[in-house]
Amino acid sequence: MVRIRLTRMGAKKRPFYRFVVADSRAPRDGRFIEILGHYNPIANPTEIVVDKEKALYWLSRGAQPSEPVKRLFKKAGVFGTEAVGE
Amino acid sequence: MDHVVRMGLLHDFYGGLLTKKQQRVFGLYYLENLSLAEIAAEVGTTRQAVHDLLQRTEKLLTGWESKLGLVDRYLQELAAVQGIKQAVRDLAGVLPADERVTQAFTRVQTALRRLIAVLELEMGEDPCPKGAEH
Repeated sequence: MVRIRLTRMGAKKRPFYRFVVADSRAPRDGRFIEILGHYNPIANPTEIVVDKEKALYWLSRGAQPSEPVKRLFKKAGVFGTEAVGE
Repeated sequence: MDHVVRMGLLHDFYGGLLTKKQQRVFGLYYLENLSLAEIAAEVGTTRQAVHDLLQRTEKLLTGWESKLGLVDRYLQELAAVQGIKQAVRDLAGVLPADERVTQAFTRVQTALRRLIAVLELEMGEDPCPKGAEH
């Protein structure tokens, strides 16, 4: 199964996250299929950047977003009706 | 603040106090965003055991935070420094072109950079970008 995860990249005390598409059969090999964007929670204002076209492509192919990804995609307007950004 | 981000910060500040197993499972869930089932397969246990361990770990971390408050303190410092950064940027735009003013402003920028370094609050960009130099 293909999943969309929110993986943390930043150093300690500097949280920074990426939205990545990855195969759930190899969750720990560090590989991912594609980066869909990023999330910087400590920027002011909070920054959520998603390539909507790519995200919708993977969702339409059955990729399963994790709960935090679902929540942030909704906030970023990936599903269509919500306002973009925060 | 998003629950995942808060848990990640609690891990940054107090993770060293956890056992290796707690650190591993907590990291797989909150930093790498694996599902409970994926973690269970990874560490060779059940989904329920992973869930219970996460619950206990979260309780430990939030307990330490309620006593020590390091994450809340960090977030307050971050917000305060972000406010100063914005004020410095605004100031750069209205200062008169004067040698003494420029020197004083440069000292403010240097002091702000030092403060950010001391508080370990680097925010992924230069606090006083070149464009803001007076």
